Amino acid sequence: MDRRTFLNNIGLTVGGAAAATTMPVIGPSVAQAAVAPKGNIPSTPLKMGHMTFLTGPAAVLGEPSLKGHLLAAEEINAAGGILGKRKIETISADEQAGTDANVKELRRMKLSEKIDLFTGVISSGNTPALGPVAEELSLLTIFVDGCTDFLWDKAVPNPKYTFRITNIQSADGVTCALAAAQTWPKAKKIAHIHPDYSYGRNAFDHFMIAYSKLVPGAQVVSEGWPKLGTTDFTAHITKTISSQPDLIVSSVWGGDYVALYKQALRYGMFKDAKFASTIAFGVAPHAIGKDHPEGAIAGVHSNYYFTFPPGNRWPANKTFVEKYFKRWNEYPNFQSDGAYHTLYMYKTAIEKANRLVGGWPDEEAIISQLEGMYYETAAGYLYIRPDNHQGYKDAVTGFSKNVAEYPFQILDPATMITIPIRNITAPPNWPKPGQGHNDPTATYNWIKETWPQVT
Amino acid sequence: MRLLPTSPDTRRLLAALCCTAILVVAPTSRAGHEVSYYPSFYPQEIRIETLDPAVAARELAGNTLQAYIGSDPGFSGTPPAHLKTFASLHSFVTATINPHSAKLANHDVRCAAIARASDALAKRADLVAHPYPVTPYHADYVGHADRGSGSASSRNAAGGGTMVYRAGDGTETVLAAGAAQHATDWDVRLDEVLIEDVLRRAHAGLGMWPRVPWAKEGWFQAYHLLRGALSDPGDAADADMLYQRLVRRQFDSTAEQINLGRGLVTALTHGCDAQVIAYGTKREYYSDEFSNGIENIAGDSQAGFGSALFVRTVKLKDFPWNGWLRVGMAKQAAARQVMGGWNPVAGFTDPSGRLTWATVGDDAFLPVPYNSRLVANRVEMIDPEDPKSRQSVLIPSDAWAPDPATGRLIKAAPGQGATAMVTYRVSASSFHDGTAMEPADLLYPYALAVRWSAGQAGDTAFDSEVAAATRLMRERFRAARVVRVDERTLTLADLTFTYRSPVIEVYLNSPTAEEQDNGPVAPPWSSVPWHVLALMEAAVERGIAAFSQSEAARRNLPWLDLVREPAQRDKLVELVNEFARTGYRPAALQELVNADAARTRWEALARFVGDSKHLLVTNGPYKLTSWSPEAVVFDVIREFTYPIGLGTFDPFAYPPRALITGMERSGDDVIVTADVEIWMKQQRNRRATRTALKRETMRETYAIRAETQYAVIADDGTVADAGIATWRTDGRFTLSLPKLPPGGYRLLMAVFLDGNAVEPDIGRFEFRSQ
Repeated sequence: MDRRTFLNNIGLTVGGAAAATTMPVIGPSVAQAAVAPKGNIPSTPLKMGHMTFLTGPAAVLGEPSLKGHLLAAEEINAAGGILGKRKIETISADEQAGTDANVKELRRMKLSEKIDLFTGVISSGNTPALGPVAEELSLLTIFVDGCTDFLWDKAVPNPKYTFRITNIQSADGVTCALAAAQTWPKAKKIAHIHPDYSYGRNAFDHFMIAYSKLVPGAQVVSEGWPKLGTTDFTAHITKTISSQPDLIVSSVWGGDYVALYKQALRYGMFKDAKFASTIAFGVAPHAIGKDHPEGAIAGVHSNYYFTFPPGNRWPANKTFVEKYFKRWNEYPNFQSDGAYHTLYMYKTAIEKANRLVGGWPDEEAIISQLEGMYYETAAGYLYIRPDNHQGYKDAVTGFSKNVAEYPFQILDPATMITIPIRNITAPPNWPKPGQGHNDPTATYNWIKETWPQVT
Repeated sequence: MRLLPTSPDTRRLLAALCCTAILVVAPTSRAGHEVSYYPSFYPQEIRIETLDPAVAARELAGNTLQAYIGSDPGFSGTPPAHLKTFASLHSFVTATINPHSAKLANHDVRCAAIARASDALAKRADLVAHPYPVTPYHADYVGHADRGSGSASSRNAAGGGTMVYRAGDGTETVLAAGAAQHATDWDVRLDEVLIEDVLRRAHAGLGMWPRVPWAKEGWFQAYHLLRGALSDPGDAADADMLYQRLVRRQFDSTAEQINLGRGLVTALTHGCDAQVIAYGTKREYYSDEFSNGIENIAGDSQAGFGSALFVRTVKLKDFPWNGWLRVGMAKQAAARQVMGGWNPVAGFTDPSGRLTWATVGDDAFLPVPYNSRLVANRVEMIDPEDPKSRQSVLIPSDAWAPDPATGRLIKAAPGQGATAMVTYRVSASSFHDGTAMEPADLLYPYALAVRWSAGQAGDTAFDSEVAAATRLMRERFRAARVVRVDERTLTLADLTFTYRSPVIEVYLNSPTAEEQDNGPVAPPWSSVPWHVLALMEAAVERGIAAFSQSEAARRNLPWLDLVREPAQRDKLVELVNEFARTGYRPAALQELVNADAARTRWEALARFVGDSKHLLVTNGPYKLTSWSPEAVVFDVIREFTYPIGLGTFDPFAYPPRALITGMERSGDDVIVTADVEIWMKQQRNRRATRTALKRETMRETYAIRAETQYAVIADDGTVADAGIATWRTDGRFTLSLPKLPPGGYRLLMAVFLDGNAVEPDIGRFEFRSQ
């Protein structure tokens, strides 16, 4: 099989057509239209716990999450509340408190505050700790992030009350690899700069397993593993340059990434090699300066970027971005999108359950409506797989570009790349690590075993 | 490293302290890209350059400089729109009567002369006429807000005729050009006294020593500003007595506390020897430009950008974290210029030195930017194991106390008691020379303070500035005991860090039982390792230099400088090498440190000075990497041994401000409504918004905490009642008036949001009690 055929088969699309071609041909959920509720609906407030990073470095992700959640809550309350009666009261908690404290806070929220829904959570270190507790407390929980495969593989293998809507972590490396192979198929000498912790290793592994299937002869010519807390990337940059790579791949993120790219600019690292990142644009859109190299694959944790789908091509995005900007005077990131639509999915599930059973539905009824739901989000359709409660939406990445409209660099909506997540993720029953293989993830093993070596 | 434990328990404790952070790589892969903790603060590099104002103005306008610290660069025209300013209290302007002026011998005439002195004040944009020493930049202002408007009767008092003025040395710009002036034959002298000089005069906040908790309060500064001018012994005695009652917290109610402060100001000004007639503000410019500017501004109400919290919050807009911060500072005016003195015992008194210490040092508590409180930094007050042990306790026999004559740390004598005990959990971390913090480091400052204060002027081992700066600590501290070492783990991705925090009991003889008052007085903390303190002591003992400027002048020695004086450094390095050979440790630590452990310390210091070319070793968030007369550069500490992380102090940036919108009487209650002004983050900018203050009003993602202060002032000027109002569920505030004697009253009230007490909007309400 040649590369083009494989990429076509996998569903990779480039540019604005993606929104029309990769999303399922179904309309928005009927429940999104206002329908009079059946039965008696109590007027007591609905209490929500939203846990996210409000301080510390991860607040660059947490703050947009809470803003997305609050925007949805304000809109729903302004319209009279869920089922026209129950207004949302949000109790926020700072995820920065640490895993043990977060578990305690989750219990307090449920047992003392009597919350109806728990949502948010950014850290992959926290979802595996919070998920089992949510199950134990029979507390309906929708994680906005915390993307580790470990959550469903080990921590909550048979979820009942817990859901998650973010794409899983292995998608970052695979999406980046497919985009790079599509764009620069002749790049065979690959240099890597990744943070020296599990995310960096995950990105390296999944990029290379996918890329080597698509680009025969691809080889790693340099590896740089800056330790957590590195501010001087000189040694990694000069090592990379001296390896004369065709392509440089990185998963350094946040302020570390900005320090890296600005130092790399001084050394001319981007002059003679292409650059691809899993997560360069994975914080708030306004965080990236206009001096960032243009034309780089600048990933967004494979989830969502506010410029795509552009214009009126996907009204849900246009509307969401406008509302978010009007409320907060800034543009949403993937956490904003996730938190905002989490609340609307919950509202939709309640409305659908109400129509089925009348009155205020119990949690079993709400869960039954969340399972298998296709929901129209700003990022496209999100599908909740019933077996593992994992949300699936197209993986997204794009190319960096300066435009006059924004005082920061954006992803060019005309050249965005989307890939159906189901086509780059191991199927439900694929063996997990330790079940006949010792590869890093099920997806890694699945790619290794089933993807053809293209010619 | 070996220590000299004296019991199995102590041995375990000391062993546990030897390492403050351990890294373990967990064999799991359950982490995302997010990292929830980053040590230290935003910029990866801070560069402070000495720049002339004109150059700074040009660079600020051109976006190559991010802030100018300490003064206004003086733009020739309108500054560019991307430049913003931060205002803080800078100075007091005092009018002082010439005691030899024949025409001002009469009290009323003196008071009239003081009242009219504002006519001679220069029309400077930074000066605010305010004839009272407690200003809107002091957290205790509400209790004084009915004062300070001046008295027409005293102003118009007969006599005196035309006043002749003189400006204090170096403050000539305070006097209006048209004022009658004479250098020797003057009646009233106007001085502009900087806040930093008032605090220095008060020996508050010298180097590494705990600053007195009330250093930013108006009554405290008024005392140290005006007390020296009092000519009447009765007024002086009154002022001293009231000051001591405030320092010793000898009051039973908020009303009494306010009355003490008001009485103190009255005692200081009653004789019309001197009075504050105005205060000066400082406007520091910073770039708010979208890409190259800075944000997260938390300047201090009295220190501006030259404060620890500014360094710990400032963020470059172009970086979620990291980046290169470049700020400028003016050269000091020639009259104020001092060189040397970069040592943490009695130095860092010049503006660039203070900023250097705020950056590389790390105090136990840090001043909150916009009130007079302190926020815990490297120590945390925790509940004692036995709640009854907070007051009137017997000092345990395994506690350490400095010998009153020598400072040597010895076990507490049996049967000794203390009036209070505070339990601390200390956030230990490695020092920049790689050595781990040990009990000796935490306890040695007590020994040093006692040793250098026990003698008297003229003694070799005595420094009057050290004695003054540590007086409160020494008066109250009795002993300290290492109780245990707590462990805390932090998991980031697949990395796990373990932090060890000693728990230490400190025994005090304090006039108050209030833990919040006692906590900051003598915390078990040092940002400097014992071996560097001992090195400095040895340098002073051997006549290489002196700790303080005044002692250096008295002994005709250089002022001890760990960084900028090559000749001193060479001599200090010789000492380090000698001590490494001999395993020297000071007498005070003989029971806590053995020769081998000491030798390890000196060898580490020798390596450090070899690499860094200076001896300023701390455990703070930044380390000094280079310096010259033109620039000082600091690198961030991103080692995970540093226990305070990015964003810790972010809530102090852009505090909300309350604006009183209504006060109405309802029976015995007064109902108060307020708006809130919030600086909302929008992309990389902040925009002020005003909205009605409700319980659910958010300051972006932070819930707002409202506090109130009110004072009911009778016609005779006494405070009849004071306290706090209740924040109701509907967002309004209610205070209940007590039964008051018949007469007229004035109610003053302010709402402080998230503790913001700067320039409060004070609601005023007059009523009569029948």
